[in-house]
Amino acid sequence: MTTSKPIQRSGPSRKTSTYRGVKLQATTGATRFSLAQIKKAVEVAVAKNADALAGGK
Amino acid sequence: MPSQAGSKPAWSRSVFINCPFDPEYKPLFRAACFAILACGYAPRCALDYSDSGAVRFTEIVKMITECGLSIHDISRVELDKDSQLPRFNMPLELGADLGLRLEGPAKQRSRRILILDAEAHRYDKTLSDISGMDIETHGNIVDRVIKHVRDWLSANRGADQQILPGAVAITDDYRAYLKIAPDIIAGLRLDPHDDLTHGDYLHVVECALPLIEAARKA
Repeated sequence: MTTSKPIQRSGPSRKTSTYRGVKLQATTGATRFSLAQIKKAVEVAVAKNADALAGGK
Repeated sequence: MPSQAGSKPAWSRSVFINCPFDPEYKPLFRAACFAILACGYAPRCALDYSDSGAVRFTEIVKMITECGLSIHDISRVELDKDSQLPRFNMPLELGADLGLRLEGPAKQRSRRILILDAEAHRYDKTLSDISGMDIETHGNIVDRVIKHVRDWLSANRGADQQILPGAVAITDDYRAYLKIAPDIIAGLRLDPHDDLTHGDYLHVVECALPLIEAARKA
C-alpha cells in the first residue's frame, strides 16, 4: 500500500504585482481559496463598483 | 483548491505585528496589514500559524527573528472582560524583540521597531522603560494607524527602495477596498456575515491593490 505525502504548495500569488510604483511582496500565508478564485472575486467586485471607485488620485 | 503557506519573505521586507486579535482591534489590525502590503512589505503575525493567534512563545520569537521590522501595539491595557485580569502577552513579545535588538546577534541589532499606543504618554505609567523609543499614538483611529505605519516604513526604507505611496492615497484605497469587500466575500461564495480569515485577507488585498489603483484612475 502506498501512502501519499502531503503536498506543500507555494502561495497562490507568485507573480509580482505593482501598486503605485511599489513592487508588492508575494503573500505567503495559507488561504482557503485558489489564486483564480480570489482574482475572479476581486475583479468582479472592482468592476461592479467601477463608478464608485473612479475619480480617485 | 486551497493554498498552503509558501516560502517566507525576505527578512528586510518582513514586518512582525504584535497586537490584540480581538474584534474591537480588528479594524486597526486590518488597516495596518493593508498599509504594510501597500508599501511593499509582508505582514507576519501569530495568525500565520493559527486562526486564534494561540501560538507557543518559542514560535513567536522565531517569527520575530525572521522579520527585520516589528510593530508592537501596547494599547490593550484594560482588564480582560471575563477574567478581570490584565493581558501581558504583548509587553512580553515587545520585551523579547527589544532584547534581540539590544543583545542579539549582529543582524538582529539592526532591527527596526515601532511601538503604538492609543493614548499619548500613557506608557509613562504602564511601561516607562520604553521612554525614548519610536512610540506613536493612534487614538484607535484607522487613518492614524495607516499614517504611522506608512511613515515609519518610509523612514526606514533602504536608499535603493522605491518611494512609498503617501498615507492619504493608501487610506483612500483602503476605504475603496472596504467598499468592495462585501462583493469580494460574496464572490468567494461566503455568507454575507462571514469574514475572510487573516490568510484569505492578505491574499485578497495583494490581488486587489493594483486593481483598485487602476479603477480609481479610470
